Amino acid sequence: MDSSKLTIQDARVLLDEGKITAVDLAARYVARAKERNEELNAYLEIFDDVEEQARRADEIMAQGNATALTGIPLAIKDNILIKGHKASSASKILENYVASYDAHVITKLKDAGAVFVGRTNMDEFALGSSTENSAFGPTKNPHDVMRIPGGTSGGSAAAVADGLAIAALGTDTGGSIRQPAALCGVVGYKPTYGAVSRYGVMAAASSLDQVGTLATTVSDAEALFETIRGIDAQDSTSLPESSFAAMRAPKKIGVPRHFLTEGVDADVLEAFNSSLKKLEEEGYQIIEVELPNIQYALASYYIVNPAEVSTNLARYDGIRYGTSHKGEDLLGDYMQTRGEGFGKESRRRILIGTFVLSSGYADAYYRKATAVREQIRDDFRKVFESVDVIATPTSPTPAFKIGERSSDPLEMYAADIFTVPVNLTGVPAISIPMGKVNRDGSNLPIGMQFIAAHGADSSIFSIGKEFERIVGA
Amino acid sequence: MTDVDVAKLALLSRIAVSDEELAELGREIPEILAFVEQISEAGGELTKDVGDHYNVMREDGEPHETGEYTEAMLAAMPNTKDGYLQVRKIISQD
Repeated sequence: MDSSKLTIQDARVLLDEGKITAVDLAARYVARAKERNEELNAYLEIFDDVEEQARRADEIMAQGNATALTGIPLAIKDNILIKGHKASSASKILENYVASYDAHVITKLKDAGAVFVGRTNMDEFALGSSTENSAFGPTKNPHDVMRIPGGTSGGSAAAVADGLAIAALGTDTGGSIRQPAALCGVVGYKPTYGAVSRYGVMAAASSLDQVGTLATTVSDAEALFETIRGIDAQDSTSLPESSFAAMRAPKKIGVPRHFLTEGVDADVLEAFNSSLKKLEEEGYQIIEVELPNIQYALASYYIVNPAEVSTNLARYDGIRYGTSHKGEDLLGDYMQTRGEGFGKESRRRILIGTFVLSSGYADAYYRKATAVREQIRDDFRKVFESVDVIATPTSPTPAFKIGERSSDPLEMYAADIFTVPVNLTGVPAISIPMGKVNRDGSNLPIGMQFIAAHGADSSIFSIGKEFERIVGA
Repeated sequence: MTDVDVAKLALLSRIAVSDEELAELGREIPEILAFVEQISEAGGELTKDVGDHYNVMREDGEPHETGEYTEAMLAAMPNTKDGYLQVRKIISQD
């Protein structure tokens, strides 16, 4: 059995037919994770209670109560709380923080008998596009270890791509699931804003953050989503079932050509076009659409995001939990704790956020960005009156080299051009492998992004499975 | 380019930043602001409301029994005394 190629569905069959126990399956993933992690740094920690978790899964199966995720080894991003385990958001300020409760998604997965292999590396507090902003070193792309895996859920994407877990949880604030999924050659799904509870998930930018799934197939990403979704009294932004549309198989695919003219690598665009052609040959209608304000999405995002980040990260002050450094007085305690605890990008975003929210500037920056965001939202609403999904490449380039963009924040931000409009508008989107392109002798995966209307998550899975069948990986 | 007092922002943000990094941020932040300032060319009226969001209230009451989570929370605190969070004295006598 080549466990690096197993899907949730494959593993389910093996477990249900008694060909393997959850304990044995988990042991294989732990062994592989331990062997490969030295090179990849996908996991910040491989848990020492994996066997115990798997034994519980075997008991659930023995009682005949197995569901889709029972006994399935998963990787969990380090900003999602698992009671009794460390959760650091890859930050020194929470380096030794132990979660005192389970996130809602974790409770659901524990009830299902899923097995957590470990917590995965990420850009500190989910700020970045490459996982280089981790306080504990970058994660390497399994397709070329000189390159970044994407970010911020880079550890989760690398873990799934290299068979160190069957599937993973990530969070997506501006592309943090979809972009690393694309660059590591796996499926990454960001649900409708509110589809999944964020109780127990560390907030980066609250109006943008969403928990989602990474897996090797669309069906697996869907199965994991189905287990974690649902309204939660502890998260007032979570949505009831009635907010979600019934499945409608998409037929009309909108393409915002005007948005694909600049900054996209030629071979990425070529792969995108040839994928669309294959869909057209299968009877899909490709329709050119216009999103008049989408050119302002990246600028709007990089105001809204730091504004909310500066607010959310104010809670890390060393007083109630986390790392605590002593200064001369109380102000000094705060200054030292936060100065030493936060990494460079976190510090930069907090300062920018503080600026765009400050008196005299808030109208020109934060409130204007919010107004532009509403316009982008309207643009998407209008386009979804005439098409079922919108298609773009997930990322304008394949994985870049470690260090290549870390000295220029604006160049790093540009990696998110196609993914941030989705978070600004709250709609669901998926990235699915769309072949490979060559850079310096390395074959690097790239991704196709499908975006659907608010609540039309089931349509995403429908076209996603069709895309896998028609285009393949 | 927008003039930015990064030292003041660092103080407002309660983050100790080295002089070297202040100089670096003093170059980077205006560059980033110059990029995001392109939104001034976009349409869209400034409004007081923030889109589809509204406040959610719950009934007054006891969501859980008093003390149920006290130990777990105390365990995460850097300094405690007799079941309380211990903080610095901030009002001086003189």
